[in-house]
Amino acid sequence: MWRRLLNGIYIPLIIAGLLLTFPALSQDGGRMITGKVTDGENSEALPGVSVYVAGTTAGTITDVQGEYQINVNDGATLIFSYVGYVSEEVAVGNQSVIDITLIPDITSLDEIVVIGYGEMKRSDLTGSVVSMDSKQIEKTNKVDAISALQGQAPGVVVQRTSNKPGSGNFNIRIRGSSTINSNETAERAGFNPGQNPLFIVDGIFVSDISFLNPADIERMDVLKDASATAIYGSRGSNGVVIIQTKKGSDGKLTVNYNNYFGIKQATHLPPMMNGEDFVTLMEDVIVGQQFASGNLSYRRSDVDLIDYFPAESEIYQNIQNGVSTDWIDLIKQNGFQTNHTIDLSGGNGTTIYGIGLGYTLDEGAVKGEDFTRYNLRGNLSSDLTDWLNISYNNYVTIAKENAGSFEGFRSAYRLKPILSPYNEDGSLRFSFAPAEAQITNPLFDFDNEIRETKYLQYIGDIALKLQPAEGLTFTTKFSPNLKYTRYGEFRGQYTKSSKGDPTRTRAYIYNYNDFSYTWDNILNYEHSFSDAHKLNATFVYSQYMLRSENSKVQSRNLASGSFLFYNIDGGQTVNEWNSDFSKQTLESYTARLNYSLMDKYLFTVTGRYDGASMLAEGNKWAFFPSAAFAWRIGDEGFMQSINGISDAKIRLSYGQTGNNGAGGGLIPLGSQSFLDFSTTNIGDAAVTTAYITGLANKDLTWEKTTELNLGLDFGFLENRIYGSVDVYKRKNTDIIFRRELSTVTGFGSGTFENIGESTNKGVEFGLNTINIDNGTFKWTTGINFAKNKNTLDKLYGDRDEIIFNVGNANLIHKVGESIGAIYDYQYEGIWQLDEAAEAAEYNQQPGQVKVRDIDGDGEITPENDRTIIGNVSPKWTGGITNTLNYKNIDFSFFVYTSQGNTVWSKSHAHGSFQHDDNVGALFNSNKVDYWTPEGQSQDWYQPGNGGPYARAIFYKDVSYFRVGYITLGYTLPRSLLDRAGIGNLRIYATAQNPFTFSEYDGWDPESANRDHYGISFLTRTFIGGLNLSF
Amino acid sequence: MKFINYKSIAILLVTALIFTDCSDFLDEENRSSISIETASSNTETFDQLVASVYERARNYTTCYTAFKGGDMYYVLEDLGTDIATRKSAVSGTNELNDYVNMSSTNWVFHVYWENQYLIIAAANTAIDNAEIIEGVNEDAKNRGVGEAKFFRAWSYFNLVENFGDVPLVLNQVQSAGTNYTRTPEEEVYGQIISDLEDALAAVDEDPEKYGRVSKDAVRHLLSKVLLTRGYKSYGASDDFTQAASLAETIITNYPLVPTFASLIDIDNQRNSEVVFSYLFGSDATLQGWGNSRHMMYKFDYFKYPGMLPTSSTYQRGFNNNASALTPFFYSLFEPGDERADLTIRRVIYAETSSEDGTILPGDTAIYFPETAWSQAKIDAAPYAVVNPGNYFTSDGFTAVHYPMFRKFDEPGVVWAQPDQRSEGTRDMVMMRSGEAYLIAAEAYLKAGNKSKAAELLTTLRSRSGLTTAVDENDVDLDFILDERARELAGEVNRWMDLKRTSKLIERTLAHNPHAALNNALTDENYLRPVPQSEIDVTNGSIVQNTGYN
Repeated sequence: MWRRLLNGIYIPLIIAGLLLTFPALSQDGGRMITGKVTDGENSEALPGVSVYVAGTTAGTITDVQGEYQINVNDGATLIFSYVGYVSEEVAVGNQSVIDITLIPDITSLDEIVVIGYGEMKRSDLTGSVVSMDSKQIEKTNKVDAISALQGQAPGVVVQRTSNKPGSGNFNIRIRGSSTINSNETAERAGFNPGQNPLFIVDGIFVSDISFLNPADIERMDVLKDASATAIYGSRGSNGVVIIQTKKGSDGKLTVNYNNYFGIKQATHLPPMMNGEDFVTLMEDVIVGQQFASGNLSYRRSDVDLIDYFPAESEIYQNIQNGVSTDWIDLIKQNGFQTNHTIDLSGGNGTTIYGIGLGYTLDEGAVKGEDFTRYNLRGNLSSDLTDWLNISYNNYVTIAKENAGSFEGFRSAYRLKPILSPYNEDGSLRFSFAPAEAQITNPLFDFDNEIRETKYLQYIGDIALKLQPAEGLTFTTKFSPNLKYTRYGEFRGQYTKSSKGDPTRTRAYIYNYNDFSYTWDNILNYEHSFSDAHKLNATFVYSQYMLRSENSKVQSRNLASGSFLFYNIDGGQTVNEWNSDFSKQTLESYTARLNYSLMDKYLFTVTGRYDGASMLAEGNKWAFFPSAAFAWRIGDEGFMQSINGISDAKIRLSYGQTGNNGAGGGLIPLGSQSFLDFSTTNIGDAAVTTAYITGLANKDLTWEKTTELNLGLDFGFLENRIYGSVDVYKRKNTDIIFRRELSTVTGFGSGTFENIGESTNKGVEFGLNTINIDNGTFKWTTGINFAKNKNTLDKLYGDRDEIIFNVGNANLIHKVGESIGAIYDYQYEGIWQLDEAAEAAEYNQQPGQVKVRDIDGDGEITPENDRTIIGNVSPKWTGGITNTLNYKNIDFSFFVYTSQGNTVWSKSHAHGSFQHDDNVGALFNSNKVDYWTPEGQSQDWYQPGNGGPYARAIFYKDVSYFRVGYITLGYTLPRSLLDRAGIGNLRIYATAQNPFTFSEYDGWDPESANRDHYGISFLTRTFIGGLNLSF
Repeated sequence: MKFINYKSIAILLVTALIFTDCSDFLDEENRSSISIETASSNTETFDQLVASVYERARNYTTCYTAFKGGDMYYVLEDLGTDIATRKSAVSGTNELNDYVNMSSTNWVFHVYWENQYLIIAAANTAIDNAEIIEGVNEDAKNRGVGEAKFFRAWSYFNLVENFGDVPLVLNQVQSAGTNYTRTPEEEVYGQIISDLEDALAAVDEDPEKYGRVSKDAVRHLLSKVLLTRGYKSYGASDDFTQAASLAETIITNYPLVPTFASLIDIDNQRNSEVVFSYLFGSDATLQGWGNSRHMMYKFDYFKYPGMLPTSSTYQRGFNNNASALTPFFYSLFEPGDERADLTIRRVIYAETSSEDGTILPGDTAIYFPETAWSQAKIDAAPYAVVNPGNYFTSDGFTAVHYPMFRKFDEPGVVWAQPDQRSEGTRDMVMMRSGEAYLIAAEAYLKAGNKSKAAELLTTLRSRSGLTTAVDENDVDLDFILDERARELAGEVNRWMDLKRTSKLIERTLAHNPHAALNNALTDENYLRPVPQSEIDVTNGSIVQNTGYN
């Protein structure tokens, strides 16, 4: 069966081969050696191992069965090398069959790390770089690449801000928040200072990597310190994530096929009130209203709901009949998830090809939400002559994201549980009026509200690599990135927004066209003057251009619901029509020099001269230098004698990088002032109006980050324990900040200026241990930990604080504190009945939220009684992975955590007696132990009587531990597979995010500041799958 | 060797490519706006800058902010007065209506303040650029500057009355300064009057286009400004007589329409009485946010059997606490006052069948009797009946229900969420001679000429069927304020009327049930708190009014 499948795939390959008829590498004379290379750990065949004759360039690669054949001359020595394994050298002698076992190199010192415009061995690294290879990525089994990174790398904090499939909304903070501005949008879950890092996929700058199939990623390298990021000086100050997609490898055709299938379910749901609870709540709301106006003798027994709801009213009837509907349960579903990836690769010595196909389907735990992605990858690299190589790479993604209804989730949490979703005849009921006039049945929204994003993204590159002389290469590479996105939205008659009225139907069609290119020209010179002196010099000239064109149309009152958003002119009124254009460019000159003395003393010097179009005329260019030194102290003679220490390296780096304000809110033309136009009505005619767009800042220039990093890489006991520790201090100056202006200027939204300074100090720790390894049983552990402290050092002028509000959270930029600390009244409990007199002094009543009178003046004032009560950024983060192997069985689990951050919880705010000023309009609520005069709780305020400081109760600690995955795998024994001609076959089962441990009892601690409009449940997924290669 | 040549050529080619790169690679490309340098050579830019003042003045009257939603419509105009209260049960507390813990951080104050300064900034830009823009003829320049000054004066009038001393900014701001300070009220008034005098000299007597500022619009505003200043310690001795004289000019130039019904008739909007309106129209490009007055003073009537949630027959109200009328308001109308039934709707007819079929489309669905019905009579009626006295008591459908406004109704306009365009197409009448009568009457009263005041009031009232002459001995401020409520409710800023006449505390505590409950209104509430954000951003160079935190 596999053979047949293979034949199917062969045909296009043969055609490709015919089109590219390059001569195959051939070898002269000698004799033939054959053999097989296996993995010392699990005795599996190792395909793709380079086998070459020492001192020559003659070589081959093992096939899928790990077998090779090579012609050698007498007396030759064969070298077997493979990334991640210790290389072996074997003198051929008179052998004709050489089978060999390669031992995995757990320290990965020979691992090739991608460092930007080049790569180097980890052992030669001077900067701080943390990596994830394809094996680790594969293990995580995530739908998107960023989720795969979450919790895995010290100092890389990943916050998922949406649980909708395919949404691609993340905050990633590398070493804290350096800059002040952030993307302050609801999608990103409120204020989160700092910016996402620069993503570079195959050398191409991209802003989002959700288009990548994680199975197509060869490796992700995160550059953290200034020495590492300086090569990307212009945009390196928030860190750099370099992603390499898989390419072909030389040798016989190998085929890998991976799949998984899974079921996704909602988890970590806050408890809601049922019908009975809600009826009691209605009574307590009425009591609370009396308390609010000072009638403290009123009790629940004084309430008769018939005074509020006539006997014949639906609400009253339903109360009598004990109607209780679990709306949440009604909108939940088990989502289906699957992924299939197939890779083919091979080569004939001069030409290497790689082809990949991927399919992903990810359904949400709420109806109508899903994400479908198709990936197509093609790579071709060919040595045209011995000094010229041409390569061409393509990566295409076609994706469709159905965001489903934005309203349904919210309606389910708002609807009174005492309403029934059905009519008396059992059919679904749309409207609940007059019992509930605002909210309609969410079960309709899922079918009638459509939000579909389709995109086609193409990234590719064509590169020419010349090698005019030994050690000297010149590469010119042009990499376009095209993304065409179409967003269509339809709101049919039976949605909350249309309320059953066909004239209120809406259709939207938004088109986004983005085109960018990166053109890199890289000159590299590598030379060893002797064994002691090695030099590697790189010079780069690079250009980047991003151009976006968008257009949007919305019409309403559609002639037919069947048009969806495909016939926008079928709507009677046009409500929105606009188009826009933006363009930005960057230009850079870079040089990097690596010098290694006796392989023990390593030096790196980097300089980058960068220009950015968005900055003001005359201030567009800046120079960013850095230097780093590493000392492989473990290789010194005096260290060799110390027992137990197997490896040690000290790294020290200092450097500067920049930020041009993109991502922090600065947009093209943002430093300039223009006239923009609008229209008004004078004399019943359209009259053009002109207004000034903003204040120009002719001095706007680069924000700068200066960073000092000290690192230690260590290994003990033959590297059974190895790891690294880094401490850093990074200082940001000339921060590009949207400075508020007095609104009397007419520019209340402010202007971008270079102001302010901040510092991030932190420590990062990574440790890998082999706890047990006795041949049949092996237990390894990987731990990472990072702690960052952020301080705002300076604002502008005499200003030492800025108070602001994002997503209902009151925040402050205050000198000496963390950027964007939470600044509000401090919750102290609930005023109790016996404190009525004291409460009255504050114009408050028992049952209301009590906040701390910090200055004790008997008055709560915003100046004197607000204080810093938390931070939105975690104090520390960490992760731990344990892997156990017993014979052919592997078991691993991964736990990560984020600790010490606080968020204004919308789950609690929205779930806390909304509309408690009118019992008839009351929404359903979280089931909390609220205050009543009979049971004087300190947990929650009295319904109907929150008081002026009720908001103080909504700040919640959102620390959590999460089990990222638990995986059990079984690799089929060789004896079985060999007969079927299969190289490797592993089957496994995984539970993704099975458990979240958190005091936070809202929807999702990661996105607790998100509004309930447009969000989805936190989910866990149970997956089964297989990895196959032949 | 031959290939060396290829190599050299290839390298040369690439090197050449790098260095032939255009030096303007980093220049910004602009396709969405034009540079100010280019604009100043376009003569029409001046008209566009002036038109922008109109646009902002209209927008910030129609909606406080699209961002935070119409939740704030008119909340600083009528709420917390004798005629308007919050739309909730008479219990609990509220900042804006009940004056309990009124806070400088309340977003409403920020938005109101900022909006006025946005209008002022647009006016300053037009005024400062009048000389810079090339080719503008002298007439057009004078007229445009005059119009801009009219709106600038209006905004400063709103600011000074709401906040007291305010920063006086009279030029386009070109750099990011923050050290603004508050200019004393008296000086701000001086500037307002000087701007209006300039405007009066510059604008057209009879503008070519409907909706433009006329000399009479300036006179109307000036009369009100002078009337207001007349009460102040720093008022000029002739402020009241000047105000009366200007208002008399309006009365002469804009005769009252014969009936109140024809005044508010949607088909007779541009009648002889209208001095100045903002225009909307039904075309979305012209309409902007749309007139939102049809949403004033509505309760959630659509929650009753027989009513549609998407009803556009009557208009759905704002989704806030700002829009209930006080019982006092209904009591103001004496028998025979035609304005009562034209302002207030006591019967609401069904738009659809009720679920139980007892109400059919066109039947009465909700009724508000003027005098209380017996329970037996109520029980016998198939529709909902709400007696006076029960307007703030929940009946299971709504917590608050009262005879709604009908003055600005516009059947057919779809209801809109608070954050959406309100889409009303009516002209929004901002000044009419009906108010000029009341300005003049008040000015005469304050100037000691009660008989003239009584005469004007008689004329105005008789238009609405109250033909009995007003006895000059009955004329006092309360009489005029009552008359203002009957004639102008929803049209004119009530809070500023009560403030001007120093009647805010007395009348609000007497007639606003929620404010009376909490009894928190004090003299300090005669000024609103300066938005805390302004104090923060200026690092304290702008100071707070007393009594606020």
